[in-house]
Amino acid sequence: MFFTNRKGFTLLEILIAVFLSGIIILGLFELFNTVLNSEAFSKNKQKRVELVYKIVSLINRDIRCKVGKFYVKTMDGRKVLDFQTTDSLLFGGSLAVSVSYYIKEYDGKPYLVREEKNGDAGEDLIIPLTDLFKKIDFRFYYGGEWRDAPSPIVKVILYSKTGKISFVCRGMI
Amino acid sequence: MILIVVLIIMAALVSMVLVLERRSSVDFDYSSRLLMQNQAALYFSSAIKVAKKLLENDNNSYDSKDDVWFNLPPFKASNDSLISLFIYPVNAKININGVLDKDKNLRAKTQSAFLYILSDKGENGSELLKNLLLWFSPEGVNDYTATLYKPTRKPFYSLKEVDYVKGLGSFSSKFHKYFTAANTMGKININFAPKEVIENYLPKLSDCVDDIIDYRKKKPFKNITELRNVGCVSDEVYLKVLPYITTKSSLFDARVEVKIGKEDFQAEMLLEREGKSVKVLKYFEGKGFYE
Repeated sequence: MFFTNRKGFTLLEILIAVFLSGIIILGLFELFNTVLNSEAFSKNKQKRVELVYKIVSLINRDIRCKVGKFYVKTMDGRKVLDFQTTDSLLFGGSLAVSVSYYIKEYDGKPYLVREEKNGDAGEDLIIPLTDLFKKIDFRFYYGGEWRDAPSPIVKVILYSKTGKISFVCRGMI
Repeated sequence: MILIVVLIIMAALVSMVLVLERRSSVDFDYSSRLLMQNQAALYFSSAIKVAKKLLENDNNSYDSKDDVWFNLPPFKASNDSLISLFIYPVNAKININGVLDKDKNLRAKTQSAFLYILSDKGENGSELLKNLLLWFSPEGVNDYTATLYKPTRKPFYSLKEVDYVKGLGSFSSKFHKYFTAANTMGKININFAPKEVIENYLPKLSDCVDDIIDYRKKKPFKNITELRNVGCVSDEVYLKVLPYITTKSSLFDARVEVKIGKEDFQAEMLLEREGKSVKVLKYFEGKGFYE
């Protein structure tokens, strides 16, 4: 009684309808896909931003509290920055400790490492900070140019897979 | 049907924009925090320069509470940042490392001052003095086999290092008014030393402490001979305390407090004045690290 028109759809109409709904579904699928991907991407990026913030902040503070001179040596063909600082993570503000920054491989992955040596006072503290960087470099400002030989002003350059981060810092003493 | 599709598309787009906006504002927050830390470090650096300049320009032959460097008002660096600089001579206090000094008299003086000041403040002075001396002895190491920090048998680098001695866990926060880890050469500045320091470090002056404090409130001691103007200090007492007093300081503790917006930053440093030049000997960041 409701379906008085018993003519139905033609094949062409059904094909057009299927085609149109296909386009709409595909469009929606892509849209949601993009939203979810961007969510995952930005979450990941945010973690990286937070990590980079913490690492830059830590290296900066270590260097500001530096006592004495910078020393650069090489270990397994990679550069190592050595200095004394009062910014001890174990005994903060009590005494000066030796701190080194370098890249070292753990399980075949390069890690940025902060090593704190407390001499007779206590245990050494070696922290692999992140696997975000594959290389670390140090350049020193002297006489209007950046050189390899240590001077009080240092530029720390961290190389990641996609680019590099660099910042300049110096000790307060 | 079309309306529903449009609504879904709109909702998806809006949520995407909101997510991106929230993330970028968090990123911005980290960058601005880093910027703020750098700004605070710049303020510290400027404050060090100011402290150096003020101490270099102090032409008085004595150091007292009337000096410009002692009475610095906070400085408003910008609309939302405030810098406060506090400079204090460390020889207003007793050098804790004196408990091991080669000079027998100085050693005895420091040990008895430690004992009495701590006992006066309700601590078990004799027990803690024993712990302190054990810290420096070869057998003392046995008490610290299980602790993270081991005695080094070197003079304390900072007052905070004393906190690692058994029983002295909060020493630096409780007794920073009376003790320092900086080398005061055994002399205390009578224009600055608190009552407890004079009383316990120079017990011969203990009857005259109130008179000395009244005197310096009216006018500072310009040289140590003026101590004789304080009625109750006899010639005999004056000669006895002479090697341990001064009116001049060469080491200063400078504390910088920076407030940017709601964030607080603090740095402390030990400055040394030698003739006309002033240099930073030690620098610490964080709250209350060095006294």
